[in-house]
Amino acid sequence: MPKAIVAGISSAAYKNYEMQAAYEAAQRQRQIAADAAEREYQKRQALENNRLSIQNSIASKQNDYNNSVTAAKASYQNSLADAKTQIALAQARANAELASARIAAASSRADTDFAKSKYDVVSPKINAAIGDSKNYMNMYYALGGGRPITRGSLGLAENAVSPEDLAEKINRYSASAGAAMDRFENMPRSGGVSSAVLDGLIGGFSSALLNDAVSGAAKFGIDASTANKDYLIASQRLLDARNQTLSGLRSNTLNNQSALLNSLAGLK
Amino acid sequence: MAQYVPISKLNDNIRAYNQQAVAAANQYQTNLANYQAMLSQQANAAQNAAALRAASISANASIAAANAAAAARRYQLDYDKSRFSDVYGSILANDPRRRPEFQDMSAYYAANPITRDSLGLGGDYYTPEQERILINQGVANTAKIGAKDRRAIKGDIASRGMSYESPILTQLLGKSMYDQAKSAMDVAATVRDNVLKANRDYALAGQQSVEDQVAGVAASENARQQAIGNYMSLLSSLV
Repeated sequence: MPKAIVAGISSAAYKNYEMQAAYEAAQRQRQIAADAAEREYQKRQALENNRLSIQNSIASKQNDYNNSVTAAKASYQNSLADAKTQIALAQARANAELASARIAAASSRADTDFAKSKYDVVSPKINAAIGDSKNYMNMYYALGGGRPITRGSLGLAENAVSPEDLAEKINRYSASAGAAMDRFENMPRSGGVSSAVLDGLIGGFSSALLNDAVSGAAKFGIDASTANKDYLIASQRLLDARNQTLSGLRSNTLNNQSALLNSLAGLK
Repeated sequence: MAQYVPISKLNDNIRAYNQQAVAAANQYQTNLANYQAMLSQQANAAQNAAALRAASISANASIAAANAAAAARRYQLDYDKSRFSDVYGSILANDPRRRPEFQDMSAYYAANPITRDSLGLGGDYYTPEQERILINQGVANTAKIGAKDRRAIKGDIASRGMSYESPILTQLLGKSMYDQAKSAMDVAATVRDNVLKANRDYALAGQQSVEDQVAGVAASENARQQAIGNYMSLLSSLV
């Protein structure tokens, strides 16, 4: 309160006033101090709460971290166990497959051993037969193969009637006619009959014989030619038959030799 | 009278409770995490153990199956071996090469070729001597016929009171002589023709027999080779 206002009042009152004023001032000071203390307290409370909150948060984070570590360790352990299990499983499967494969291989070897034993029994026989078959062609050669097949090789004449045969036949025919003509020439003439007449009669017979000899020679030539052609055709059939036989035998022999090789090839 | 508790104390208490709660919650989370970890590990261990057990069972089963298959195969092989032994033995007992009719005859036929001579069909159907005899017989027959004819002519002339010595008689006798001569010529030629033809036909027929024989031998050789081939094919089929 301004001092001018205070003037005019009693001292007691003034004193009371001063006391009141002092009291109120003190009250105000106390209030201010209390307010300040309250603010300080609230501030400290807040600070403490904040500290605790931070501390709790740190603790929570730490806890979360620890829990995460725990979970991670567990996960790691699980993964490690899984990995070990996978290794063990793979090992077990591999061992089983290896054992099964060995069993199958042993079984397969038994098959192969059996096949080999059969092969060892059969193949020598087939090889021996193949060796023998190198002589298969011997029959082909024994029956005339490998050489020209001709009438001469079969022991057949080249002609049905040779030129010599024909000449001999004609000569003999002519000679026979000539001998008969000589007999006519020397035939005794009957007495008292004109020899010219007899000569004419007998000469007619000689002429007939001469004609017979000439025509006979011509006919023999034709007959010989016909017989030769027939013979060539007939004998050619025999040559063809032999060639066909040998050709068939040769072809069959080659096929039979190949069949033996095929039998050996079938053993592979 | 209610006990007065300063607010600061209350705050402290509240904070203490909060701290306890936070600690408890953290502990709970920790315990839960530990429990979950333990549970997870136990479950994982159980799963892995089960997987290993299953793998072991599977492995044993597969090995047992392989052994069973191998045993079955051995049984089959034993059976096959038994069958092979029986069949091979039977087939071997019937090897055609052991039979005489399947022997190689090529050396024999090389040394003994099949010819008309070897078949007993050699030579000619008529020998030159036989031909000569036939001709002589024919000529003799013509002479006999001619002589008989001429006797008949003379007898006929005489019976008619005619002279033997006449042109008619000469002509008739001459005709008879001509006929005889012509017949003799023809007989000789015909016999010659027939002999040549008979010899020719005989040679051709004989050679046909030779060719038939050769064809038969060739067929026999082919059959022999085929039989051996078939037998070897049969053996081959056993492997």
